[in-house]
Amino acid sequence: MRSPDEAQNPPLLTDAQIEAAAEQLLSDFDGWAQEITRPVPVEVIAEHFLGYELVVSEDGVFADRDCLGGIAFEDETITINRSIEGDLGRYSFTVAHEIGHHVLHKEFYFDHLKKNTAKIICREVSSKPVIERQADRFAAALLMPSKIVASAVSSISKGSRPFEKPTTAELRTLAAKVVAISGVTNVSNTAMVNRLIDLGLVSGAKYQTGRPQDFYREVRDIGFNMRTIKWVFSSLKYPLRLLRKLRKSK
Amino acid sequence: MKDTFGGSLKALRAQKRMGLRELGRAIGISAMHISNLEKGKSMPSAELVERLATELEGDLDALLHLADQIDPAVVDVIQSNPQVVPSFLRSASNLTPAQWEKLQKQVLKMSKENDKK
Repeated sequence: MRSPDEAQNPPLLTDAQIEAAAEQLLSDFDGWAQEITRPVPVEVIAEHFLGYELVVSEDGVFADRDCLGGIAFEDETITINRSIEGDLGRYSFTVAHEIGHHVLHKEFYFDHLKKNTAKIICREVSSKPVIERQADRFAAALLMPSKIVASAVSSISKGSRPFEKPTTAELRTLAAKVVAISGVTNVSNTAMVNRLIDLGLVSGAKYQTGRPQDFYREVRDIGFNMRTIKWVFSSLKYPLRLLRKLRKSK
Repeated sequence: MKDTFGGSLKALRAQKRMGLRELGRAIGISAMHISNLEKGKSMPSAELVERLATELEGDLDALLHLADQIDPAVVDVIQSNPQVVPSFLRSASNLTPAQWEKLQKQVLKMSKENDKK
């Protein structure tokens, strides 16, 4: 088992709490480093500030390219899959994601998960249980601090809010400008687009990355919660299966 | 850990507060290669030790020693004097550290005089 089951009740954290935790860590780090370094040097934070050993590997569970990174609390090791080291955005996001597990879930791991899960909590491409989504949000907040991003957007829009219902191309252009102005150069364009949407700096975007999060975000915005969405899906399963059978029989 | 090449490399990187990927990019090798060097899974060539020492401002000779490598410049000296240098080194095998130091000073002096010519 690579990631803990949602049924094990991970800590309930709001986006605001996760944002605050990332801001606090960054502020502590800046104080320790005695300078403000941007883009946020996540490797330095992980290794030299938090004391983790950073390893880049293609061995063991990391032979699977879907396991992008992992954290082993007991060994104080963060491992990044070799397959993503050429991609600065993905590499930095994965390191920041693992830092997120350290900040948000270390206590939870030792209290609840240690007995039932593997030593390494893996960041996987396909699987997104709650703690993975929380660590993703933390990573975005750490790499793209809300104040810096908002300030860059404000300088582009000159105070007004023209970013309503942008097309995908407009969104990508805006994200590229924000990256250039803010100096947050170790993130991908997609990560910045998602950040702009998550921070509410653009609205009504029809942007689709094809990830399940896009769908969840849209239905959440309408007012549904996760439980309702899951219930809708599970109740549709049987009629859909029946329909498929009927079609085949014809 | 500092008495191994990997340990020394890691300590130097920590001193400079550099990341694995950051160092790898700076000297043109992968982060995994740096990671493997630090964990002792692989050993570097003399040329790579030189690049690492330059980037991290480490002691080249100490790092070469830990990596079981000889400075290519030293190899050049031996190869361009294939009889004299090995013979000299053999005859100097029982010198004390103090005598080595004295000898080194003398060699430096001679080398400087040659440069002036």
